[in-house]
Amino acid sequence: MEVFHNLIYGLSVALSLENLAYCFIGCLIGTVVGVLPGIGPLATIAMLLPITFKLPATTAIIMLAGIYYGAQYGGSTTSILVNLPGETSSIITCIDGYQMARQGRGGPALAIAAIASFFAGTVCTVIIFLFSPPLIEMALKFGPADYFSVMLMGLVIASVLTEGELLNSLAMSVLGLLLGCVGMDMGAGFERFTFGYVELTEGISFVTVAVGVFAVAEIIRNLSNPSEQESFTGKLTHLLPTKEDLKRCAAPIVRGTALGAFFGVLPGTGPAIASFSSYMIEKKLSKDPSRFGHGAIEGVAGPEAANNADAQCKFIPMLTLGIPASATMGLFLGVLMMQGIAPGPTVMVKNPDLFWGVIASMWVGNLALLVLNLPLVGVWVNILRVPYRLLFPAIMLFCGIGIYTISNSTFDHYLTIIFTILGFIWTKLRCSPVPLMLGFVLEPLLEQNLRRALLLSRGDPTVFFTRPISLGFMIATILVLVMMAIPTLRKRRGQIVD
Amino acid sequence: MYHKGMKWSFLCVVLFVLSVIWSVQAVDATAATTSVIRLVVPFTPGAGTDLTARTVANGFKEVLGKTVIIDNRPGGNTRIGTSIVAKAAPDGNTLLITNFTHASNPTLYKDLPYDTEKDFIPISLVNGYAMMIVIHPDLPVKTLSELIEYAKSKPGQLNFSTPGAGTPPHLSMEMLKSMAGLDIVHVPYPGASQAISDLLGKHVQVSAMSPLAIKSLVETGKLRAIAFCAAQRSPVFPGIPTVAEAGVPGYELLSWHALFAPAKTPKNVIDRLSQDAMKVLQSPAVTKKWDEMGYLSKASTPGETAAYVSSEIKRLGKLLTSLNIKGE
Repeated sequence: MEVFHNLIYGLSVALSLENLAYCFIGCLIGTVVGVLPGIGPLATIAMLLPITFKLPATTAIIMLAGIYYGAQYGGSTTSILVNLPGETSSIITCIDGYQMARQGRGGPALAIAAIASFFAGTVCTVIIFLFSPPLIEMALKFGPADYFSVMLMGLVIASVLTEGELLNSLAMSVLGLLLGCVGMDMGAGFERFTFGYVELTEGISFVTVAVGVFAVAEIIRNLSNPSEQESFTGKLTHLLPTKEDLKRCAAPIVRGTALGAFFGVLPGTGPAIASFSSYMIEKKLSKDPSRFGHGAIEGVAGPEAANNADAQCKFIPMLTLGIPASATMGLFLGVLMMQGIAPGPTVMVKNPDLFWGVIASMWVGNLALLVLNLPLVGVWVNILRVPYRLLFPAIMLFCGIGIYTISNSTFDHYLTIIFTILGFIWTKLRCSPVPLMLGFVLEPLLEQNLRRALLLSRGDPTVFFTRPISLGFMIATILVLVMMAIPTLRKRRGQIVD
Repeated sequence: MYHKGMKWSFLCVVLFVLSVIWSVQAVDATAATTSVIRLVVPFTPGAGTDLTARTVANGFKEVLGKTVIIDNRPGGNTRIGTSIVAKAAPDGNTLLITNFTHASNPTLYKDLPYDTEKDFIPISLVNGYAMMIVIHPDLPVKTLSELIEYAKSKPGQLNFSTPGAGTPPHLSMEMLKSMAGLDIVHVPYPGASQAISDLLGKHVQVSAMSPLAIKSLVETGKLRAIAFCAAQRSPVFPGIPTVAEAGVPGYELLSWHALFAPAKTPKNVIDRLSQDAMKVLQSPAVTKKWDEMGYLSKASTPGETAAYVSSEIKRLGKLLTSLNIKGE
């Protein structure tokens, strides 16, 4: 009954004319920002901070939260249309989303991304309302050893299930891990692989790798292949998913939401692992895994749901304990602190309008994004009708501006050029860059948690097998490896017998 | 319908590109105009120094009607943003706001791309801050002296979390360890949030945190605050003793933020900036904010600031060397 009362109270705050307007503005800005690579929600929110001084705390957070999840929606748009992941979490959407666009099914891909995100957003709003306190208790039980085991499982599963040669994808994920090592080592402060460039001390920016390897390398590939350039302009069929599409996507969306919610509650998991795991699971469960990588709509729906669920549930640690799961969340806390509100468990009691209002506004914001995005599908898809000779310079311009905004310097442009060349070579060698990206994104988390776990156990490696949570993930990892190995071994044995 | 949609999308794209280019130029163009100050923050948006900078910028607007634009240039343990200001035009339109990392970097890094003392003229201290030592409430101790006794009975068995080597929380704890003769293991994290969550999850037992960040957790009994690292008690927790009061006499580790201009800035410009900074930093609008955010109000003349910064370089240098903390 109290939950019901809180829900009504929250909605009454979120639906006040002012808050509704700021929520909508936030979602709109977020969508635009998500479309651009580089300018992420963090930079945007920082730019808009002076405005929030003049607003009540609740309204300010509602608007900033709108930007945050609006960017998640926007990030998938460019992934699908031009193979350009706007945000970390939308790399996976590139794989099948972009293929769908090339087959003239960009409309259904965009629409299913919006629908999946909306579904996940709705479910997670309910989860936050009902289960925040027990979920956070669970999340705090995760220590460094447990985080390490989860990440390891994610990385192993991703490498094993990626298309192409197993050895290639393992090599690519290890290369990704190495790229992730670049920069200042966190424990001792040593600089690794920086070659004296101060710009590299914070590591290679994700955006330079993603833009180079995915977007620009793809442009070069298209330009070197004139017959393919106009390929997706002619055959636009329908804009919305068919009944068949929706039926295929229902289960992946639900599973994606569950996965995203699980990873979202854990504050130390980063943005990529939820969508990657969802993709890999859908591929494994699919009756026809060969469709994946060639425009399977489930490969868009599952990860998009996971991604949005993850983003939304990241609010749980922030709202209940005042622990920000990302830099963007940290900025939200900054806004609260500058208004003199100490973030943490007392917010619920001292500022109930803030607490329940922000949660209710998440659902309102997701609805606003759905309403905003479905009609935009028609507009976005039309971009693909622009002749490629005009489209590719525009994409390059966007990438150039976006990369500049990472740290307001041209250094990142040079890095992007390097990764473009590498990305092009990898495509030619049929090495998928996806495990590379996951390795790259997970490296800091893997390494830090490994070192921290060993530091806490005073160098005893059995800690990964004595902590129950960690042990569970380790067993799962080994099971996956065995499951993958058995068919290959059988085949080999068959060959030997023959 | 397709055609109309296309025109619209193009218009949006063009408008957006123009606005982005304009905003980037706006930041660059500030060097040319006289009324707008570009304040370089060598940290990411949302970091403590960033929030301090934004409060100062807001103060300049409210008290003097002057516009200050924040330019976040994070990375390299503040070295990137700091070297940008060292090379900026010395016309008083590009300033640096940084924290005491500025004074510890000369010890941590042998080849800084600038000279910490010669390349900058300090304008004023901005505020001071210190860490609160917190423990998990399940630990069977209630005060700092009990913690010291407990840690001595379990040498090398307790852990403390920090947001990284050389940060104020790390130095606060290391100084406590060396003054009280304790053996507690340092576990670094990439940020304060994970350092707090692993303390809450009992994976580590002790930590030093900024008071406002843990206020709510202490009030709800999820953490226990035991001692404050400054010489005076924290305005956020007036009931919690200082480390010196609680059993380690002579202990103080105060961190600070300060404003700097490039070295060759003319004397009259420095004087004007110093007057402006004094007015802003002593205004109730700003001091009230510091109280709320748990900072100690500070303001000083360029001469006082320079003397303070160079004494800090020596003090932190000695502390870092004695603790054997290195950069590279």
